[in-house]
Amino acid sequence: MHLDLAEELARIVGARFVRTAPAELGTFASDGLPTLHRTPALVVFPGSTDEVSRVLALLAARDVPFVARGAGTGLSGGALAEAPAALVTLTRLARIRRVDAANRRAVVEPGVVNVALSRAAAPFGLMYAPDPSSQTACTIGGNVAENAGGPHCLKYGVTTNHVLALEVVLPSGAVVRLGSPGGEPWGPDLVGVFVGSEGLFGIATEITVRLVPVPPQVRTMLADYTSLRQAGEAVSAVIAEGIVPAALEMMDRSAIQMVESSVYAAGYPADAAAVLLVELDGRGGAVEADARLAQAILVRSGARAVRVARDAAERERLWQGRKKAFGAMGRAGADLVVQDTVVPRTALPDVLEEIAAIGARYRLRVTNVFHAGDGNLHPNLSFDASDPDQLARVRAASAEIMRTCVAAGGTITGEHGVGLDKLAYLPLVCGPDELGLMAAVRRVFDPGERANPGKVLPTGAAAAGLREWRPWSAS
Amino acid sequence: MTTAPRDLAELAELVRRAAAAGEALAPRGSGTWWPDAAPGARPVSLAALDVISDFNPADLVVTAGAGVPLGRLAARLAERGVWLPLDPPGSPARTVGGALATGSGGPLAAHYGPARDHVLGLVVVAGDGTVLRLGGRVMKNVAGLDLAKLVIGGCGAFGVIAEAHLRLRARPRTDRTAVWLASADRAARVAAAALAAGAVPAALEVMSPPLAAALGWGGGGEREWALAVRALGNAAEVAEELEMVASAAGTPPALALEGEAPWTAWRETVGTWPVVLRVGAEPAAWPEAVALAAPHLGVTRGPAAASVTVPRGTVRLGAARCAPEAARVLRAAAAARGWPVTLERADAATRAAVGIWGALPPATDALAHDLAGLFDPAGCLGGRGEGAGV
Repeated sequence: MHLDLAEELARIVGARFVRTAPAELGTFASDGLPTLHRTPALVVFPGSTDEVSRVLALLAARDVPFVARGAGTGLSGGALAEAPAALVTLTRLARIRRVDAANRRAVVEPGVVNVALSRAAAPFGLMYAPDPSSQTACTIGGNVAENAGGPHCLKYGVTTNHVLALEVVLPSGAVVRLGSPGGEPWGPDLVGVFVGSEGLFGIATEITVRLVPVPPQVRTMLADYTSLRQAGEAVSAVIAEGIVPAALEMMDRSAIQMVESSVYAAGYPADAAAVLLVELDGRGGAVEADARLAQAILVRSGARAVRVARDAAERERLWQGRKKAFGAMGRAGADLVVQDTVVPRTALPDVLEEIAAIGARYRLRVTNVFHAGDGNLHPNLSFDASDPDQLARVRAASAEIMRTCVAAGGTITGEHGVGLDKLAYLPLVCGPDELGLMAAVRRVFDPGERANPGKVLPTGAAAAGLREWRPWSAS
Repeated sequence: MTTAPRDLAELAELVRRAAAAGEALAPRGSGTWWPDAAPGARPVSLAALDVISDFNPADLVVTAGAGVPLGRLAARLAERGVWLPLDPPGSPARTVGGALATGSGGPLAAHYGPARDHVLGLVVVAGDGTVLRLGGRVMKNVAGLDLAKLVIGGCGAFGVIAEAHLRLRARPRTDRTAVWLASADRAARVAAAALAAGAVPAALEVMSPPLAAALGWGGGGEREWALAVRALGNAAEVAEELEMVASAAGTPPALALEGEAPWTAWRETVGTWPVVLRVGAEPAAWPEAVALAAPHLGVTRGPAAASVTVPRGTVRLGAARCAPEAARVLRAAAAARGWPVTLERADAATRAAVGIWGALPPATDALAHDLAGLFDPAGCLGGRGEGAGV
């Protein structure tokens, strides 16, 4: 049956843009999450909105589910497809259609790599602000699906704050335009509900985003602490003073040691309990004034030393440790689960201690590298996925970490999404009424529930307790 | 007969009964923005849901009931050195729920974003009385679909907002505004030059001569459009921002103002316009949007009452009234340029005749209609009737 489907898809996109060989499908069986693998029935690479529309219409006619995929860097399993589902990969839709400097916006296709957009905007003194750690590989389409964040979202906001308009191919194949080039919604805010819908509503084929001016001055400093608690408290102290850092990142002892013993050594003090990376940006005088204030606060909060990068090279080096931390963590175990929870900023000191205790209880190395200014934690668990006992301990520890963060007033994911990974945990933060409504909203966009099936919302037995919402036409 | 539930449970019960009885409800905040309820709908005052239940200045989060007046909220926040950079037009009596339901931002949206960018979570009563808890109280949250976005700016069609969890900011230490008076052309050139040079002001608002005159900034002549730039932050930051705009203008400002007062005056003055239309244009296209709209607003001489949040391309137009045919023609002309025209404020009769959103593009209309039908299955929140007109 799928050979036939593959032939028909080939008629739309060309034979070389449909893949069915098992070896090739295998390369699409994983995304950034190491614990789950799924093999699609086939992979199709449409090259235009029209091709996406015809591909989805054909899949609709054949009642074949599909999963949209960008670079496959996601960390929640959201871009995994299991046969009979087809994987619709959007990397050919990688054109930057327009950088409109006068209106500070850009129109891009979903396969554009995040950092490529900022590069294209740079000659105009502009940049695309949301900067996930994977920004050299991840795509804007994936960022829209996941409502991606990043270190600089503390000051500039996450993806949803930057998307103005979308062209979307619905699962039926119909093409709709949502929002307007100025950002004002047409009626209800359909752009707002689409961003972060994790591929359940269709495929965005054109994305209009805001750009912001590249700040002329950047000041980066590293504060090191002998106590994790003090570092956590310093985060709130900086924010309370009215400073809005461009980024405020924390790394714990484990992270520092991993980075410093790797090829990415950034010169962090190896004996510190935690370091804070604080970046301020803006114009000269403003940055100067905030930097002096921030430095004083950091010292007052117990920092052993505050090192201010003197030049771009030193700044680059300070950031290297943060950005390459995940690479460095690869040394500690064969595999790595990057967790993603959020707590109120003031809860950080307590929650970090509780997470350390959970790690000890399950005999797992926990490494914290995270967006402290937002209260967005990334406890990373190093393990060997080939050992079922370790895998079981990682899953149990992850569940406990999420329950701890929810109990502290937080949530189960701040920027990675629910995907497959957090499916079981969404009920910790959403009740049966809300989950049922989400499922019904999804069916407005996708009545057949063929777009990214089995992701985000409970299915099967788990869905049994959900409230059923019917539209007025059906009630 | 206005009903005034005293808490969330009473509100939910009221909506549940109305839905069962097929009765239409018209939830109201202060009643200062939309002056009246749709005929045939029972007004529901949310004024008693006026509790600031949870305020964590250190986390920069507040939870406020829908009926909390924005003025009272601002005063409470200021006591602890924080603020909510949401400045919709209207009186300080306007409520949290009203501002969010209509999706109204103000000049500060230039930098801080529209109303939706300040909301971390909502407690909403759906049209069948179900209490929905959407989002949360933390800075980042992607757990499940972002349904709160539909409620904010949904004009009531997606449920009654009972409570909002709002993201706050530390109060800036310095707050200064510089005003230039110029022709529309020159105001547009200066605004464009300032933005091209990298300006990131808290507000960059262009006001037409009637509004500038009402604020006491000009005499109302054709060459007395006001370009008002507000800078917030530390002293150096504010000075640098205003210098950058001054250098783009090539002249020092006509007025240098301190603090929030000029903007409070802006809110109050725009709040006197009986009809407010909001056009969503590209930032650089605002002169065209103003020119396009003026003839349809009963303005025969001189420029219309208008205020433009330039970095967002939000063009607000004021009028005494708005005829359905004029609105239809304006909307068609705007739609040809890709610009939505929202009726942000009017009396119930005008809202019913003109529609808050007008005819949506067909595909969008089908989605909006079906979504509203889920949130309000019995149609008691006006989704099927006046309300949002979906």
